[in-house]
Amino acid sequence: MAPPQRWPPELNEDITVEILLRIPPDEPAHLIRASVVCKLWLHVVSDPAFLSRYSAFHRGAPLLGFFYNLDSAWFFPGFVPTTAASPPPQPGHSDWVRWVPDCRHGRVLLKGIGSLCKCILMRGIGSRTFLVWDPFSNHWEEVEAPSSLSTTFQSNAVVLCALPGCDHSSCRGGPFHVVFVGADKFDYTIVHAHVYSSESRSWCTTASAQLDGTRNFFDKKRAVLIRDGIYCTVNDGARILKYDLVEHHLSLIGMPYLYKNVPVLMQNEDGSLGIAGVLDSRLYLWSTVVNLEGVTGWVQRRVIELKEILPVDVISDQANLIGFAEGVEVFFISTNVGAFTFELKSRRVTKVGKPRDYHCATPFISFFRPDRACSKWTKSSLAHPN
Amino acid sequence: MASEKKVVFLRSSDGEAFEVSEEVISAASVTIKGMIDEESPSRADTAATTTLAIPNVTAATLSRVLHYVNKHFDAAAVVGRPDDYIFCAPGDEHPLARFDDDFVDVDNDTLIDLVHAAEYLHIKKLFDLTCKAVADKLKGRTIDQIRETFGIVNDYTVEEEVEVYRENSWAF
Repeated sequence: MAPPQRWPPELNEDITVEILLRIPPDEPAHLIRASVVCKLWLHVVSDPAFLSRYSAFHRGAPLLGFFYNLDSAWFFPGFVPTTAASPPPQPGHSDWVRWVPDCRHGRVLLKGIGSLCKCILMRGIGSRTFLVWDPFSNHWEEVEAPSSLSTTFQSNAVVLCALPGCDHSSCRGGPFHVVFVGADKFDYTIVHAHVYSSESRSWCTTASAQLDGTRNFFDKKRAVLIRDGIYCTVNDGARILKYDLVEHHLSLIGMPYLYKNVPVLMQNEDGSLGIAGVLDSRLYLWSTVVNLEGVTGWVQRRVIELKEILPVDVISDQANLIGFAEGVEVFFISTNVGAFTFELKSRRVTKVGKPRDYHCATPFISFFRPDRACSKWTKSSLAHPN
Repeated sequence: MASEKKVVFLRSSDGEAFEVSEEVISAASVTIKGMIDEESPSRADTAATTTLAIPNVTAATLSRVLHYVNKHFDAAAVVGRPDDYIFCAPGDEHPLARFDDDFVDVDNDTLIDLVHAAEYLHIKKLFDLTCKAVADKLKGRTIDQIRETFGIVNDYTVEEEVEVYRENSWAF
């Protein structure tokens, strides 16, 4: 009988790739820890081709945390990780950032609301400056807001990838748009939509409209992007402003109910626009539906008793809904004992942040990219793995 | 037209032969299906049973692989076996989820042998399952434990390793 022949115990590169590909994406530290095992493993997890495969293999990107804005614009926004370990997302110029309007397609949109004095100190960076920031590479681009806009509180903004046909799993570094909707500087009854293109490095005003004849006050809750529509709440949650990115058209949508706190806009699993509002310890979920005549209306889809899901020490009728993470279906709830995530499907509730005056939460949903996070040293080491 | 089911014998690297249904192993393993197809012209006019040499897989591993293959690819085994219920608990995603969990609940060497065998025999479902099990084993282990478990030599210099740790200190 021939002597038993055994595979060598070591893992070859192909098998290493296949194993590392199956590391779950919900804890970014696991990929980083793998990179420290040996240079081959670092080489694998930092390879853009591997990371593209990794994104495709795991389909939806995981929730890594949320950026929050506080009720007072004089306090710095911050970041609350929802994973056990998280890379510290500290933007450049973080001392002047006062508002995080959006985070989408791997980019974070930051805005300064600084005093005149601060503007001068910070080389003119102030209330009209946006930063489009990649938290992994810490690369940012400054974008000056158009001058026709009113005060900084009368606006909302969205950042999005501008690459046609992109699945947004690895589009960082490519072209982007910033969409800025806001009230006119002199006449608050007029709303303008402006779109910034990183390719032409300029703004164009794509739509202007006098809506409803009333002054349009923008809430600071995060806008939602559904297909070609950007939706944000205005007038203390009494209306939803829609901007159509293709038709360049502004319109108002009525709310089904006037909640005490501004409701959170959301994209439902079926792709329809939804809202979520809290009243008397209950979370109400609404969807838009189109009837046979083609008229869009609201239907109440679900009611969730917060007392049943939140810990007993939470005063549930004071709980405030501050955000929603699309794709992963997670709500962010601010309470007297801290911030919680609530996973809609599993109904799992997790405490993630200490009590603060959270105004709104902007989810950070992304695959962790070691290739963009690594330093010059790591890059040179990758060029010469041995 | 009832014909007796064809079987093939697989001979492991240490010389042990295992009988398996030709239909089942062809459905499971791209590699063995290729071997059988190559052999087919010479087998057409003979009743002799084929024995295929699997030089890279030991008897211990091959026997586990065939246990998996018979469970997953034998239609008669998957459907209607009264003892199957023990592998299926309420909430399981598919009837064999529990079987799969138990199948990969083995020591590291055995698991790595299964990964290599699944790759060599080109059994995609088994390769997915075993690679995922190895990836799961990485969680909760220190870097040194991972190196030890998979026999990996640390090729960083001390300075390089300190730098990688420093740069990613949040992950440790």
